[in-house]
Amino acid sequence: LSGMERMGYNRSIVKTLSLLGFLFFFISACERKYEAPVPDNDWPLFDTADPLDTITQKAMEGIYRVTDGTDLFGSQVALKWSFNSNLTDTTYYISIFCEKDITYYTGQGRKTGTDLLFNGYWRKMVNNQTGIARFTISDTNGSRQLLSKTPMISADSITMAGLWGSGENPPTNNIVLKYVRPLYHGKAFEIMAAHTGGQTIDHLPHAENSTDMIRYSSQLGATGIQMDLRITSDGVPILFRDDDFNQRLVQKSGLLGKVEDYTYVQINTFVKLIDGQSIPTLDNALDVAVNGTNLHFVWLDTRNVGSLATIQQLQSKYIQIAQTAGRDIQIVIGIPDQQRLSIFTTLPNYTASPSLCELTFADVAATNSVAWGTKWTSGIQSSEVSQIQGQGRKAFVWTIDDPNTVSEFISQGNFDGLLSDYPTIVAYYYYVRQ
Amino acid sequence: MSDSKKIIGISMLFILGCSGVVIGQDEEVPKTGKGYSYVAYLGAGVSYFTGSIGTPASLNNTVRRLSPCGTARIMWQPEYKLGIGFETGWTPFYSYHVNGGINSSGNAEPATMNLNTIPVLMVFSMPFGQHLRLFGGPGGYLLTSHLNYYGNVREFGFSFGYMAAVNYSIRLSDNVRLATEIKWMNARQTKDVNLSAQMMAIWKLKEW
Repeated sequence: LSGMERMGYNRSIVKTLSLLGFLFFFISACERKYEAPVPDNDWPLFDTADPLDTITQKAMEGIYRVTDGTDLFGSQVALKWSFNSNLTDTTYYISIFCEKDITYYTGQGRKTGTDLLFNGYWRKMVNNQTGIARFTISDTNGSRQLLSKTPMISADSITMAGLWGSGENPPTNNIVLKYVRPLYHGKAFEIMAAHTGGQTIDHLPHAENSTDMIRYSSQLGATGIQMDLRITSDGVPILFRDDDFNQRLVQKSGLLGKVEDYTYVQINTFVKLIDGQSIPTLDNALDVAVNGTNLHFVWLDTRNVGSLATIQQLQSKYIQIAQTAGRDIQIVIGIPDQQRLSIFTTLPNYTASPSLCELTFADVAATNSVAWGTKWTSGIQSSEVSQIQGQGRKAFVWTIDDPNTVSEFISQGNFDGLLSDYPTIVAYYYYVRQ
Repeated sequence: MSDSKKIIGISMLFILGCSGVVIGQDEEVPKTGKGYSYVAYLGAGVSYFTGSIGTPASLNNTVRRLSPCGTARIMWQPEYKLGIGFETGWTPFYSYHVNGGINSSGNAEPATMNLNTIPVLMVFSMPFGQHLRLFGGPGGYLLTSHLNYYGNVREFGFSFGYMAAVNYSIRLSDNVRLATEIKWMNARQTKDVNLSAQMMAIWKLKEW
């Protein structure tokens, strides 16, 4: 090679390696860690305050106008209380649902003297932004009325004044909410949270399809949940969405391959969900849903199961437990396709097992399903919904995550429930109805 | 920045820096008038798993990170410096042994878990002087896991990833060289990272 040719080759090599280097850095940058950790919102004044009673909580629920802090919450929000419980304790949570950026706020409320204090955190679901927010309702802003035995609440009678901050930073930005009117409580409607509350990829405080997420779902506004069910190689129904173990859903353990190839004891010993929880059995999950929450509807979405017998037995067991406890909750087995319809119809006395069928009306009738489910892409389907409701069954639509589409289906559709990965936006559009 | 990103950054800076140094240096193989060749690499050595294993913290386990490993690689070496080829081999990433007393019913039941890989990688190479050659490239890792705990479960998986290696060789004959190689493998999707040191034999299979 001549000197000139040699220099040309060397230049092309440098260019090639530079390009490879750039590609490596580009890939590296694209893999940036995305998290939204719940901020540490320790507030000494709040820690020493007394709990609020449920009369006060109920009286506070309503639609509020945002007069300061619209950058965070938008111009209008819906405020609602929820609770969850374990064997020894019940904890109440305040939640605020916003349209802007699918933002929500959740926390707890207490009182000190005549001041009501609210301490919690906000989260935007369109990104990973989160932060602390604290509110106070003082004597002059409606607390005396809220603390009375029979609160009389009207427009502008409650003002929640507070501060919010970003991340772990102390809250310094003003936010003021003024009560406008009560929440909409017209036609009953199930706000259904997918995967027991939301998706792991959205970095909620708990992993999807977990018992902690079931408890948390009410704070997200859900009145019902959908569980993804699989069956282990030894026949135990568990909650897990994907076909295989992957680091999107579980912590690293070295175990590969299909969930169904492992026994429950193997999974329970070696596999942890991304937040460190164990993968729950359906038995665990229904126990929490029935005994630990106020959810009204549980959709058992069966994925790749060979038999529904154990699922039917657990469904029956927890329907009995709920009835004994006076709980208003429906537990339905999902029938999404012909294969699972065939499996369902082999069950003993299957027409007595509540189900949600996503197939034809003839299949819905043949299985005596309590509800019909349909894809949102089929549209609002007013006549079909009326027809199914005319048979005394419910109509559900799945899975809608786009806020505009959620708004359209709630305002123009007549469904009995809507499944979403973002129940807070469904709650917002439902409760602000007039 | 995570450790693996630092390693990528340092590696690439090293490669880019060196690429400027080599301009004008001698070729690794003296010119014979023939411009193209196929070169085979066969190596064996030890690998050390540098990533996080992630065994559940509650388990009393013994982890083995050091294992024997092997590499097979074939390169197409044109008349200019940048070569391209294909690499595979066998690398046990890690294994762990759980020392019983771990199940919910309180029974002591020992368990073992192994994770191994067969890399399937596209490789670029670049000589630096007469003895040194860098390798690097993207591809995939075929993974096998084997759990023995209340029964055996053997499963397969796949992870995209890449590798980078430094190879130092000496000439034994016109067609044969002996080398040592330090190699870094990263199965990016499953976050399995491994470093190996191997002895290698290099054959020039065909030249034209």
